Amino acid sequence: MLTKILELFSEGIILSLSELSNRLGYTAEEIESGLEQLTRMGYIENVEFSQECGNCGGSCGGGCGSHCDSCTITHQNNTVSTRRITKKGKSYLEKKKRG
Amino acid sequence: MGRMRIALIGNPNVGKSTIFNALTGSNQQVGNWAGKTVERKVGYINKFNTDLELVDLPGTYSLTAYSQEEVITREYVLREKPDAVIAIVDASNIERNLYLVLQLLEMTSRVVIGLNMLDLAQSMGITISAPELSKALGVPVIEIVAAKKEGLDTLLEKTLEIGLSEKTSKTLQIPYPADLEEKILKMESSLKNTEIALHYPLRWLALKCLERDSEVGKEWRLESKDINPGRNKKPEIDSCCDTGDHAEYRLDFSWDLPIEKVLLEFASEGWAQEEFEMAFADAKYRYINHILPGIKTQELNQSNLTERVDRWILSPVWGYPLLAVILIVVFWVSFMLSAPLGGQVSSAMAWCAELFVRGMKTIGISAVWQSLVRDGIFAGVGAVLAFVPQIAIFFAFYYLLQDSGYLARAAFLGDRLMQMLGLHGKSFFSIVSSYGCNVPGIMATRTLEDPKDRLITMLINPLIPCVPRLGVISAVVAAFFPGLRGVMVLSSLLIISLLLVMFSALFLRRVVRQKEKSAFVMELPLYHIPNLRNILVPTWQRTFTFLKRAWTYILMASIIVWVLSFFPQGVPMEQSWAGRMGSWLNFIGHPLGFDWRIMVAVVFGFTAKETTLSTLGILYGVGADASQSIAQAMTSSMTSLVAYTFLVVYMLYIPCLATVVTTYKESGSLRWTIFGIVYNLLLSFIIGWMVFHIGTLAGIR
Repeated sequence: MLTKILELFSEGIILSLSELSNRLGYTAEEIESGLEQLTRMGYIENVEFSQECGNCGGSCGGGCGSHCDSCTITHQNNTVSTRRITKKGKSYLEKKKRG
Repeated sequence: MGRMRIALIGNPNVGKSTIFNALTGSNQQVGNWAGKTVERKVGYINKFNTDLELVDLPGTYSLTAYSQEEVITREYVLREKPDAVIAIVDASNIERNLYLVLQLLEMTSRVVIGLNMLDLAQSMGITISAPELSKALGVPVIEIVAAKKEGLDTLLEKTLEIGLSEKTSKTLQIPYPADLEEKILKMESSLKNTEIALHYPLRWLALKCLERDSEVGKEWRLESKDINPGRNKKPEIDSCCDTGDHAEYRLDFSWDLPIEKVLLEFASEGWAQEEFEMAFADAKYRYINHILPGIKTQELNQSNLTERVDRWILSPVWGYPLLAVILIVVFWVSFMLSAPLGGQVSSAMAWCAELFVRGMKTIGISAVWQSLVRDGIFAGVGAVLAFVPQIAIFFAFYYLLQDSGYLARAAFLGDRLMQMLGLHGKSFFSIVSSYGCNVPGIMATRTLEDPKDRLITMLINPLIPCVPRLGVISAVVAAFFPGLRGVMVLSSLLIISLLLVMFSALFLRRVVRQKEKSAFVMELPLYHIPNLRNILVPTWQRTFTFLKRAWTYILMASIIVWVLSFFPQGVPMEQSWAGRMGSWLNFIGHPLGFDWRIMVAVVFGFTAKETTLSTLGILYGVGADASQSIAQAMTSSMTSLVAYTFLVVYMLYIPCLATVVTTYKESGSLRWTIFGIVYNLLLSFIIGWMVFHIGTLAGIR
C-alpha cells in the first residue's frame, strides 16, 4: 500500500483520502494510517495551506496588506491539511523506476 | 517471584495514562528517560498478592528509530525484557494502532492487548471482535473502557497470567513476500552465531539489520547519576533508565555485526535500506488489511456517509451540474434577501447626509464644506455602505458552504478541470486561496518547488476574483440585473474568469515550461451541519473589515475624488480635474462604451477594489440627489451592456496594490510583475471590448 500511495503521488493529481481508498482497495482509515507512517518515514510531508490571510498577531484581520508579509501560511484561517512527496520519496520512486 | 515488571505501551492519546493513573493511583515516580527529554513514569502496586512495577512507556506510533520515543519504548521492551507488556489499542481507530502492535509482536509474545475506547467506537458505529482479534494476533485481548475503569481488573489478571507463564522466544511471524523472506532468512543465518543474537530476538534483529536501523547494535552505559534523596525511590534501579531527574548515558560499545557482506550483496540486487524499510511496512499494512474484515464491522456513520455523498458530489458527470446549481441558488438567494435591505441603508444614508448638511447650514458653514460632506463623504462612503447587506449575505453563504464541507469539494472539482489543461496540481491551493484574497493565494505558491511553476500560478492568480471584488461585482449586478438575471450574469462572469484562468494557463505554459508534476493528497472534510457560530463570526469579521476600510481607504479616496471632481469651482463636472483625467483616458474607455466617470473609478480601484463603488457614487452625484441611490443613478446613466462590460473589465484588470506588491516580493522580478500587470490590463480590455462589440452587434442594450 505504501509504495502504491507513493506511486500515485507521481501522477501529478490531487487526491482525496476516499479516492485513494477506492483506487488501492484499502479502507480510508488504513490509508490515513499509511500516510502517517510514510510521513514518519520521511517519504512524504505535511503541508498546511490557508484560504485566507488571517490573524497574524491580531494585525491582519482579513486585511491581507503588505503588513501581513511576515505571516506564515500555516498561521492563517481555514487551514487545509495536505501531504506532498519529499526528496527522499522522489528518489525512492526514481530508483524503483530505474528497476 | 519478586516484583513483576509490566510495561504499558500504545499510540499517543489511546488512554494509556488514564489506565496507568487508575492502576497506580498516587504511587508514581516521574522523571526523564536517560539523556532524553521524554517523561518517564513508574508506578508500584500490589495486586492479586503480587508486587507490580508498572512502567508507562512514551506514546508512539511505531518502533523504528524515527523519534526518541520510539527508541526508548523498543529499547525498554528488548533490553529490560519486562515480564509482560500491555498494549493499549484504540478501538475507534484500530488500523493505526495495529501497526504498532504488529511491530511489538515481532519483538515479544508476552503481550496482552487492552482494547480501549469501545464506547467511542460504538458511538461511531464500529464493532471490534475481541476474540477474533485475539485469534489473529495470537495474544489475549481484553475489552476495557479506561475512562470508566471498566475491565481493568480483568486486564491486570490476564497480564499476571502472561507474566507468570514460561518465557519463550517465539514471536509473531508476519507473512512477508517470498523474496523478502528469503533475504530475512539469509540475514538470520549471518547473525545466528553472534553474541548479540543471545540478547535480542533473532528475526527482529535480522529485520532491523536489513533496514540498517541506526540504533541497532548500540549498547549504552550509565555514566553519572544524581539521585534526589527526597524521592520515594524503590531499591531496584533500571539498568537503562533513570527513575530520578538526572542521568547520563554514554555509548558503551557497538556490537560487531557481520552483516556488511550480506547487505552489499542485497544492494547489488537493488535492495537497499529504503527498499527493505518500505517492504516491511507494506507487508504489515497488507497483513492488517487481511485480518481487518474478520475483526471489524462498521455501520453507516458520518464518515462513510460522506464517502457515499462524495460519489455524487465529486462525480465527473454529476459534480459539475450540481456545482452550477448550488452557485445559482446561492447568488439568487443572496440577491433576493439583500435588495430591500440595501434600499433601506441608502435611504438612511441620504437622510443622515441631509441632516448633517442642514446642521452645517444652521451654524453657517460654507457651501464648499457642505458639498464635501454631502457629495464627497456621504456620496462615497454611503454608496459603499448601501451594499453592506449584499456583501454580508454573500460572505455568510461563502462561509456556509465552507463550514458544510462543500467549498473544498467545489475547489476539488475546479482543479480537475484545470488538470485537463495541464495546470500544475499544487497550483490548486493558490487558486482556492485566491477566492478569499489574492495575497495569500500568491503566497501559497511558495509550496511549488519549480520557480517556473510558481510564476505561472502567480500570473494567473489575479484572474480569480477575490471576495472583496466579488462583493463589489455582486453589488453592481444587483443594481443592474435584478432577480434571476443577476444570477445568470454573475455565473457568466465566474465562467469567464475560469475560462481565462484555463486559457492563461495554456498560454503561459508555452511561454514558461514546466519541469515535472507531483501530486498532493488532501483531506476533504466530513460533511456536517454548519455551525451558526462558524458562519456568523467570520461573516462579521469580513463585513467589519469592509466597514473599517469604508472609514479609512474609502473615506480618503472619497475626499480625493470629491476634490478632483469639485475643482476648479464653477465648471461642469466634465471639466473638473476628474473629468479631464477621465477625458485623457477616453481613448481606452470609448471603445468599451465607458464614459469618463467609469474610467476614473477604474483608476481609483487600483488602490483598493472597494473604492470603485465610492468613486462611482461621487461621480454619479448620488449625494447631490438624496432621493436616489447609486444603483438608480448608475442605471439611469449607463446601459446594461456597458454595466456588464464594466464588470468584466473590473473583474479582470490589475489586481489591487497589495497583490501587485506581493507578486513582486514573491517573484523577486520587476519584469514579471510588470508583465503580469500588462497581461491583466490587456486581457481585461480585450475581453471587455469583445463583450461590448458582440453585445452591440447582437442588439443588446
